[in-house]
Amino acid sequence: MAMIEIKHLRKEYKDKPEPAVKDLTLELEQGDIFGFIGPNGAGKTTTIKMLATLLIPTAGSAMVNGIDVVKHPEQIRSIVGYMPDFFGVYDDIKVWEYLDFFAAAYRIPKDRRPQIIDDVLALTDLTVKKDSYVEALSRGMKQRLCLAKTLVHDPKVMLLDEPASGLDPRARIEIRELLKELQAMGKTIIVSSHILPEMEEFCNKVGIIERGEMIVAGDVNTIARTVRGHQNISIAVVNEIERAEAILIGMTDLVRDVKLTNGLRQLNETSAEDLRQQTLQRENYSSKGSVLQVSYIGEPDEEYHILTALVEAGIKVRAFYTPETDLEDVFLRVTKGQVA
Amino acid sequence: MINNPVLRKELFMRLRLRQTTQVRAGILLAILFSLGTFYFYVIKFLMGDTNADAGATYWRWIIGLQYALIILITPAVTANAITLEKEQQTWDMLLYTNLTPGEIILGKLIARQVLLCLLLVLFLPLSLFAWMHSAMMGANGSDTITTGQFALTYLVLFLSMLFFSTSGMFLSFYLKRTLYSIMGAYTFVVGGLIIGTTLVTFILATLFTNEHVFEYCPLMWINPVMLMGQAMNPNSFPNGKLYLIFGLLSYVVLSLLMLWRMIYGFRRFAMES
Repeated sequence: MAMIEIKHLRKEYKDKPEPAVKDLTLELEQGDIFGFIGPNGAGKTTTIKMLATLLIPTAGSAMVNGIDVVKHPEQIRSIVGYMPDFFGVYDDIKVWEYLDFFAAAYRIPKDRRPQIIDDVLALTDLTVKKDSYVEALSRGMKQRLCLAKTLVHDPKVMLLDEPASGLDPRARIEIRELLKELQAMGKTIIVSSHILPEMEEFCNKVGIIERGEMIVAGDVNTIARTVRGHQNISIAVVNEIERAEAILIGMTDLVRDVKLTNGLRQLNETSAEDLRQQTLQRENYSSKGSVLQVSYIGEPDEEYHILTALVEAGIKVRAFYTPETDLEDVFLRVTKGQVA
Repeated sequence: MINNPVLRKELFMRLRLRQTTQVRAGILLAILFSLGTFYFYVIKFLMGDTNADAGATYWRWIIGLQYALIILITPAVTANAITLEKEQQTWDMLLYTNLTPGEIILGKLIARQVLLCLLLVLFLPLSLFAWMHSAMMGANGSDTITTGQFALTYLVLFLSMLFFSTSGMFLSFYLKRTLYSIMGAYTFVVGGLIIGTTLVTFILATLFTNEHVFEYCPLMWINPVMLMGQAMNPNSFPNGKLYLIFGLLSYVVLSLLMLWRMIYGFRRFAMES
């Protein structure tokens, strides 16, 4: 059974002619970290709020762990943690009191609360701030406190709406590390963000939404491959880089293009000066080993044919890997910058 | 109800003085000094007054002062109950808990009622003193305050406080800004209930050239000044007691209706707004 199952979800607002979300369908398994990507006003927050029982869908259905979000909102709130994109904190309240209030609001028995508070404070690295007043915390700490609040009832699913927005780089890294820990704990997480390079680091699935429509959704590499029409493969070789390059270019049914990296420009440069520079660089790099960027167009899971060809030709391959997907590139390719 | 997290948080936050010990002691001293001075002068003048009606007169002034304070303070205290949550962006997080609408609304309302009741408690000894003075010093035929009058005035004070508080909460629930909510609450209590009802009844009295319209017009049933007047002097005109019963009943029914509306329509309104 899917942990999150959304079918043809639609949301219309009375004061807006265009629906905020239209025909959104999505399925996530337990442990999935889903990156929800889209321009401002694309419908991310509306979708998350519908899953969080804070908005009623106009049409369609959404189930979390088999529970309908419209029919059983109380049950959903017990198993789902929600962190809004904009949130405030109460003044005149200490960090532990703030968490104790929310723990009580989630019906956690009084005798269990101190331990839970200590645990979530440790997880969010806020133990030293336990007795501080909430308004005295920095923005990043408040963000982590909100995440701690989201965790007090140990939800199976977490909906995090822009958890790193407006934070400085250090605070962003802290949030990212925290999300990785949650991922390791087996939580199913939907996280929306604009900081795409960070999303690729911990999301195993992404969905790109624009004008209320899910344009693509699924595994990051599959999406990248679908959008670009090829898969990037990096091959680091120790010797005979030119021969390796020639072999790869010759495999026209599997390889569309080959580029030499490590500071070298692309092979299709045509000016005489460029060619001379490339030759010089190539001589230097050939002796040290370099990396070939291959645009693979063959069947998925059959990349090994390339490796086999190189090894059989006597090329010493030091590394053969799929580099991180450039999510920003994918995002720019599929979106048009339109809002609902 | 005592385990209601909202009630506990609201009371705890409102009663907490975060200032240093010296500042805290200073605030406490200032309150005690002002109250002590007030108590001292009222008792001094009352003891020095040889008039047999003095106790009753002072008692009415003390009750009147409390009522004026309730009218002035209640809208400001209650009309921010929910708008403040919306403004400081904590409302969504509060909605996203397993708290029931009743717990949220009643928790906030009762916490504020408790604070307002402190006002009544602060003045209660003085009111009791004036009442007992009136009972002991009042001669035959002089103005004395009966136990019934005493209880009735406090009932009016309490139910008015409940009605004004609920009205403030109601506006706070449906409006987005504290400023508008407070303005709305004052407009309702002072502009509508006190000035509005009097003005309309006065116009009706002028149109029908009948001075008794004030005694019969149902609008005046909910006029707080008229209600308190009737509680202090239940026999001032023939239908005085009827006024009081209908007035207080109206306050209770309207309060319950507003509470029912807020609690029953809670999730739907919160989701749509």
